Amino acid sequence: MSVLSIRTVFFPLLALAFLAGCAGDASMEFNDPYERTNRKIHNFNKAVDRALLRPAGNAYGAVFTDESSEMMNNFTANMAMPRRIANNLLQFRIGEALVSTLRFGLNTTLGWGGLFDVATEAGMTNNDSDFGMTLHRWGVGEGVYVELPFFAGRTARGSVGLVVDLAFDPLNAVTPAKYSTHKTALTLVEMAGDRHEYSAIFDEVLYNAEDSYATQRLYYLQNRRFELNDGEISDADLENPYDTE
Amino acid sequence: MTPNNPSRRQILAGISAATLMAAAPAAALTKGEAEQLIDNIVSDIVAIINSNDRGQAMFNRFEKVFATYADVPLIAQKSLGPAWRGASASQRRAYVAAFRGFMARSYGSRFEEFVGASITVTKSRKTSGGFLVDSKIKLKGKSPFKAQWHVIDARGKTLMFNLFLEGVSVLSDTRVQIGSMLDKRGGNIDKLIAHLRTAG
Repeated sequence: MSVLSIRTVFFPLLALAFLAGCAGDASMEFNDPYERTNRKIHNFNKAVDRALLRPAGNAYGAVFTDESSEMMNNFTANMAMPRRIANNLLQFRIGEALVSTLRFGLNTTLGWGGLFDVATEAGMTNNDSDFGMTLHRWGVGEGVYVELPFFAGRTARGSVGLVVDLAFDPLNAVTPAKYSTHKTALTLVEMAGDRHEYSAIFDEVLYNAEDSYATQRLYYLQNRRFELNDGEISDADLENPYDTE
Repeated sequence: MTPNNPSRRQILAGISAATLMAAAPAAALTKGEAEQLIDNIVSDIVAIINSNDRGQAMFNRFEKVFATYADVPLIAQKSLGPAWRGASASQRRAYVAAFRGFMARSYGSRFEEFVGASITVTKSRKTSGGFLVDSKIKLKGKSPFKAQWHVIDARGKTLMFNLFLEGVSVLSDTRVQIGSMLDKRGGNIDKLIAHLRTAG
């Protein structure tokens, strides 16, 4: 654990704001100049998973039935709506912002505070959005790959997005201070729920892959590019079968 | 005539695949051929995972499906990365042979998770060297996800080259795994080949 000095952990965090602005070299498969540090943090995250997150995911699976787990997912997804609406607006996606607002209103009222997803049942689309996506729409490049303690790997752009989304969540402004602990607790339960729902892929990547760091980096980056590219494979990831190595 | 008779469908699929294989090398790959290939692969995969075959029996069937519908030598070469250049002709042959079984086990165990799934081809678009065919995989009680198949014109044959699951390239993933296996063996290709014969 001595390898995790303040410097190794926080230097990448401090550098993020600057690096997010630097466009990565598109010809390179991955822009990962801090691989040595990232790998140390990755090992730390794996230890956290083994000791805390995986057991929490198992406990979640034991406690929640499929039905209650779905309600839980609905509730946390509804709590994320103000943040999504804010990002829809920042991306000038007015139509999506309207749909998201309507969805939030419907699920909060008719859906019993968000426990039931009546909006989806009524046929409304659900568009995910975050500040990393907003930065992408604004033309900010992917930046370097960084593995954050407790949050696994993401791009510099995605990391800035994460910090902004957590710090400037519109919901914080209207949540009375005495409930902020409840909100934190809910986030932790949500993490345990995700760990349970995606346990097969988590275990595969972290414990069965030949190189868990490289595998996680690959999965994250390609999946994120796909997501930002509206569900299409980016040209960078679509290999030309005929080029000679 | 029962349109859903599986054996009849399989025979028809087999005939149409055979026609594709026999197509003149000069004819460029079409969108219809690319989608047909994926329809065939998908129905074969679904038939395997929904059968009672598991373990080696299942992997043997996957190996046959890949030998028929995928450009396994090219996938093997691309999965080895830069080390391919340094390999001798006999090492390359031994590596490709070992890769066939490895691919059946590693891709096959991925498909095994699709048991009971419905897979439908949704659309396709032209891309470098061929087509990218989109399909939707729906597993019971889970939200559907996207599998995209890169189909190429391989020396006049229509073959699968790569598969993307929610944007993640299975070829890139295999390259990461094999690269790491090679590193752990000090870059020794012969040791990698010996390991691949049982790995997966």
